[in-house]
Order: sequence, then C-alpha cells, then structure tokens
Amino acid sequence: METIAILFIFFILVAVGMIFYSKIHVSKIAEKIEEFQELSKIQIAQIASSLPELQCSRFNDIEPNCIDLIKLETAPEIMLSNSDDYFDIFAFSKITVRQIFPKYSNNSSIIYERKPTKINNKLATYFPISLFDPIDQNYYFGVMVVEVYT
Amino acid sequence: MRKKLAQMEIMGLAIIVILLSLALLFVIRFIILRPSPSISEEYTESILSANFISALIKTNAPDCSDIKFSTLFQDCASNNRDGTGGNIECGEGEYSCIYIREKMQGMLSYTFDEWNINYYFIASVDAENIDKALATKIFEPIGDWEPCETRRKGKPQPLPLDTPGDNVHLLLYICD
Repeated sequence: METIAILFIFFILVAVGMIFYSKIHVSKIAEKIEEFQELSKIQIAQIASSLPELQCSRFNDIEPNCIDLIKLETAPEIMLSNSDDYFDIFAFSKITVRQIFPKYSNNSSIIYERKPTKINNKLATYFPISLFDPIDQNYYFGVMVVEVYT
Repeated sequence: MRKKLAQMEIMGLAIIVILLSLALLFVIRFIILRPSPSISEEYTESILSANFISALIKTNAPDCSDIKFSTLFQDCASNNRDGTGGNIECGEGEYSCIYIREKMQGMLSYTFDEWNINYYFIASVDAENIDKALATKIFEPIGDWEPCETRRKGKPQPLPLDTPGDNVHLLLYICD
C-alpha cells in the first residue's frame, strides 16, 4: 500500500515535471519563431533601403540610409510589374515610404506589396530615412515602413 | 506503528525538498535568468534612434534658405547666449532654435507618437550625463522623461561648433 502511494506521488511529480518542461519548450519554440520573423523583417528593411533601384548615389558613391526621390517615382512600377522576381527577396511583405518633412504626405509610396491568401499576423518596422531630391539637391525627412505578413 | 510514522515523515520531507527545488527553479528561471532583449529589438531601437538623428541633420529646411538642420543646430548652440535663439532667420522673426524645436516636434509626433514609442530628445553642449545635458541644453527638451519606466537608450550625435573642442550633442532616448 505504501509502495503504491509513493509510486503514485512519484508519477504525479514526473508528470508535473514533464508538463512544466514541455510548456517551457513550446514557449521557447514560439519565441524562436518570433525572433526569426523579427530578423527577417530587419533583413527585408535593410535590403529595401540598399536597393540600387532606390538608393541615393553620386558618381557611384553610394549614400547609406537615403532614397532617391526620382528613383522612388519609377521603382514601384518596375517592382510591382516584376513582383515575382522580388518575391525571393521580400516574400510576403509591404514596403512603403512616406515623406514627413518639409511636407507631411498622407499618401505613402508603395514600393512592394505581396499578401498571402490568409494573414495570421502582421509585423511592422519603421526606419527614419533621408529622401534626396536630385533636381534641387535637397534632402527631406521620411520614413520607410516594412510590414511582414505571416 | 513507529516505523510507519517515520516513513510518513521521510515522505513529507521529500515533498518539502521537491517543492523547495521547484521554487528555486522558478527563481533561477524568472529572476536570475531574466530574458535579455532580443537581437532584433536591440537592432531596431539603435537603428531608430541613430537613423532619426542622421536623417534629421542632413535634412534641408526650406524656410531657412535650404540650410541643413546640422547648421541650424550649430547656429542655435553658438548664438543663443543672449536669448535671441540663434542668428539664422527662418521665416518671420523666427530664429534657428525656435524653428528646430517646432519642426522637430512635428517630425517626432508623425513618427514616434504614431508608433506609440516613448522618446526624449535633448540637444546640449555637454552630454556626459542627463544632468549635465539639462544644464547645457540649447532649447527645451522634447518629449517626457517620466513615462519611460524601463531603461533608456540613446547615443549622442556630436556636431562641432566654432569654438575648438566644443560640440553640440543630439540625444534621442528611446524606452527599452
């Protein structure tokens, strides 16, 4: 009788331990998945801000963290018409650029957009960025928004 | 009977030991091994603050004859001693210090306020710590220091002034 009671308690403790361990394991996997999604979001934003189709350059001298406004006018059309080629880089995401200063623009330029059939989650990252106007040689203040769909 | 009582006591002790070790495990898990901020969180925070400042100082101000914000900051820091608010005039009777603060408030509200991120911006001559920064600020800081319950992150961006060795430091703190 005593042996049975001890075994019963022992198995209960083992079961509690296993449940506890599996819960931690599941939450760790979920954390890893989230971390991976966050990293892919950053990767997409980095690639987007350094795309030759958008990046500011003078005599082959590339300027980081800067988008050329003339390129920005034409790039979305090219990128949206060739979205299959860009899918390998940007996957299911939406990349937009908005001017904040000197004029706040309500309409943001959509550079790329591809949505999955079913959206479970949407992670957004914001990157303040310089917008360069090559005609008047002026820099404006803007924001690049990267939304990753999962 | 005595043997049975001893066995019961041992079992009780064993349960207490197990419960104590479980409690210790919890303490180690949640207090000692506190989750550190993820790589992506750290990256995003540092990029947000650094990108904002670097994009800001490059920006041209159309109301100030297209002068860059970096020059406006330098003017405000160098020529604000008598309370005039700088030498460069931006619009009607508005000088660099007032102009920068006003426009930055707009930029910050369209960005950090919209994204629900707490911030605190201060431009000062000395940025060794927040007290020295407050004592040498070139205009009133933007944002609230108080709402940030966690630690703040921000790296000063120095801009050289006319006086050798003097800089104006731009600090944008973001709550962790």
